[in-house]
Amino acid sequence: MVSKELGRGALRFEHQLVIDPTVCDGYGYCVELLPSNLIFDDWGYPIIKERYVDDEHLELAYRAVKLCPKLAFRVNKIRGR
Amino acid sequence: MMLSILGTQIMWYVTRSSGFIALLLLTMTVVLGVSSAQKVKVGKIPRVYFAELHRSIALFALVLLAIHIFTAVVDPFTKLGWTTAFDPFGRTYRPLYLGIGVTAFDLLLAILVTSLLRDRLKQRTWKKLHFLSYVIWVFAVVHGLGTGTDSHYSFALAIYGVCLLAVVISVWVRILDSETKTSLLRFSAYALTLFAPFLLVLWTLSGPAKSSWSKRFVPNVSSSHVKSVTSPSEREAGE
Repeated sequence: MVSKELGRGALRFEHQLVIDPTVCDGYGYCVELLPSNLIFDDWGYPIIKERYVDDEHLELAYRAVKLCPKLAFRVNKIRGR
Repeated sequence: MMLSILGTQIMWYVTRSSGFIALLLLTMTVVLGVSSAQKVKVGKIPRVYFAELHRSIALFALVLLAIHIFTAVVDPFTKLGWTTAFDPFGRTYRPLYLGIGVTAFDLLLAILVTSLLRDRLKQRTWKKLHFLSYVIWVFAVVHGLGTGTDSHYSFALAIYGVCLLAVVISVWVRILDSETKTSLLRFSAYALTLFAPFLLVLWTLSGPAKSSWSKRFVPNVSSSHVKSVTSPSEREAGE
């Protein structure tokens, strides 16, 4: 989701979830921390439901980056549209 | 004079108790780490809670270790310098078992640093280093039994026993559960986890569990002010 409007000309950033499926081992920490963005597939691996992270969930997203045992979960900060 | 005796005793009490608590916390860290790696699920509790707990308890153990080392160094009876905190060699006070403890602490710091900088390392490098935790835990137990003046008390032996059981059981579950079919690795893991606790128990019974163990160590320092202070350990072990 696009971050809040900050006024004309202000830089906006979006935070996008990225999961490397070749590395992911299905520990599931990211899904447990971000149920608003991720769901489990039938084998316990994460599926991205919503790629963009709300500001209110950002802290949890970075928590998941820190805790992912395989370093398969990332948050990319990109210039907003 | 009176004050200095009280002072050394207080330091020694804090060193001993913080050491025991640090060992219990390290044991919890190992058990939580092993079970997280096993993807253990307890009821409806999210697994991420255990991963968080593993991190926080490990950091808590480091705080306790900082207290443990600080009071041990400050204690005038032990005659330790500040380099003792990191340098495992050349101690005046129970050199071998103190050195093992210092080595464990150094390795623990290595694990702390690599875990904090985990995103800058290869995941496999970090993981290999993290396997040192088992060594650290064994060193911590040997250090506690060997250095501690409480080792012959049943409460101390009970604490060590509980810690040993907890770690051995969780490691066995991990081996039984592991997908590694490399038979050599599996076999050596089994052999090690059967043999090492057995050796540890034998050694404990032959040494630290005897009340004479703590009397054997007298620091080889001839300074008169040290002599005038009766050591808490001697007092406990003797008289």
